[in-house]
Amino acid sequence: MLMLALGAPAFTVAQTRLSVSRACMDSTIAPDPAMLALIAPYRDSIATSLSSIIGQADMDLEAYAPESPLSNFVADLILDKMKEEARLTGSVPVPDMSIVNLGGLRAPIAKGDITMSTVFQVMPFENTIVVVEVTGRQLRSAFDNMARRGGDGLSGAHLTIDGGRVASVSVGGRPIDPDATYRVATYNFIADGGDGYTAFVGCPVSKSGIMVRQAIIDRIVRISAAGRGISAAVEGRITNEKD
Amino acid sequence: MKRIDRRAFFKCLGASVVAMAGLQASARSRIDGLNRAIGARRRVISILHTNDVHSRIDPLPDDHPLYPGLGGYARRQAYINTVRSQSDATLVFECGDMFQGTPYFNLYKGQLEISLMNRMGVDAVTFGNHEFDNGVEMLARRVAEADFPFLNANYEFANADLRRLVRPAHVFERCGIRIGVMGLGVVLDGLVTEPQLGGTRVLDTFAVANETARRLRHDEGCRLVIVLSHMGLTMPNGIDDRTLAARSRNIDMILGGHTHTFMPEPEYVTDLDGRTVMINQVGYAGINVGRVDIEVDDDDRLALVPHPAALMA
Repeated sequence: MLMLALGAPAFTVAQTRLSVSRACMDSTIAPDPAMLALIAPYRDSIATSLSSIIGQADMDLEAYAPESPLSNFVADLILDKMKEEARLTGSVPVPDMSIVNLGGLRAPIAKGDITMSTVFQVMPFENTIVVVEVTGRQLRSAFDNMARRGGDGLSGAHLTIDGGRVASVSVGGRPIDPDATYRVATYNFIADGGDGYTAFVGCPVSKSGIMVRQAIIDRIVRISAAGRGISAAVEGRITNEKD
Repeated sequence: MKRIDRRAFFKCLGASVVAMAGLQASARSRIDGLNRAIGARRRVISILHTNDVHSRIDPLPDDHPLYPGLGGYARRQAYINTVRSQSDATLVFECGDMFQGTPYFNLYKGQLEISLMNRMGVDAVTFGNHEFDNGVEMLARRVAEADFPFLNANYEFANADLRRLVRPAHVFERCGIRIGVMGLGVVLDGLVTEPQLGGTRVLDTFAVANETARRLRHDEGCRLVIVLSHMGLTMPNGIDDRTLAARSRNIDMILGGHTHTFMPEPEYVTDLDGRTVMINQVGYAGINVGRVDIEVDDDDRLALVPHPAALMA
């Protein structure tokens, strides 16, 4: 009645149903002590490193469209980091501007103490910083995507959006020359076409190997070492025509 | 695709209390009783599986909106120990995305997950897309650290270490029964970037799956052919567990992942030969451990062990 033995050669599942096919890992199960002991030092080490205070925020920094303090902060530090990298190592070309996606900034930085944990929450991904070389035509196409998205983190350029389209755009204060070459600092995710930035796919990419999270940590530590807290302004880098 | 079936979850919670208290014990004593009655030597092979654990070493936080305090490697280890003490043989599988999701992964790059899984005695795993998050070189280091095989049949690796280390399938022998296990991964386009993939290519998944299953069944003499899948239960591109089951031959069971689906019970799909394929997937984060008990009778016939009627409600 219970055993539905089905013949050789191969196992066949009969017209039967398993009523319970899983066990829920809830508090009725006493955790294995040996496994707990194995995990404990890692957990302690993580707790220690995540709770260490690396700096202060003078204000709440959040990420939102079309332009926000947090996206400006990260776009600026990525641009600066790649300029520094170009100067010190020459591993990347000197960037003209930077783009970061709003969706990649997963949590705000609240006013007050900033811990390592805060930065892990802001940037949980293992994104690295790259510099992409694009034609003005391709860059314009990337800005079209940014306008459709309603804005993203931007540094070194200005964008005016009208109804999801580019009303005007400039890089370094000048209009985009379709035939000129531009160098854009960004994440590997965007350079690989993520979040609709397909204009960058196939363009020459210089990899810095520097993780975005590490760059954020470095910037906060550096500002903190100078005795200051971090802040960022919304200053009209991306505006909506209608507003 | 990553929707959570809350109803199924609560069903799981309700059942689990009963299950933990009496499931293994009662199933076993029932089998023992039957054995005595017919004078037969019945043996039980328990197959335990998880998917999309996502570096959840500790249980989910107590303030988690959906699954407060559930999961954790130490609980899973305790459960596996219990099953091992009750069944004649146990196989423990993970169906991909073991990595990424907590600072444990950010800080230790997957080393901790692998060392705990070694400790747990995991028998085989397959790759999820997040296993590639730190690139193929780092992944190859993790695969080399594992005491268990990483199985995949539908990826072609350009990385020499992965080519050397990864096998399409592995044959286990338990209670005298040969059990063939293969791994199948999700179509990686759009999920993993090219630099992370390092030239990894996805092959014709269904063709490779059927050929591997044929080989396991007929060349290797496997009575049971199991797919560890990270393809997803259903996907827009049609390369998924349900479609594979319907277009397959020689596959008995697909243990899945990727879509984080809390299946209220296994699903049964008819294959090209009119045989039944069982599909199961157990959510994510190690909240549940899937369990399939196979009984081997004294004539070496195989059957699924239906769980006691009391738990069917």
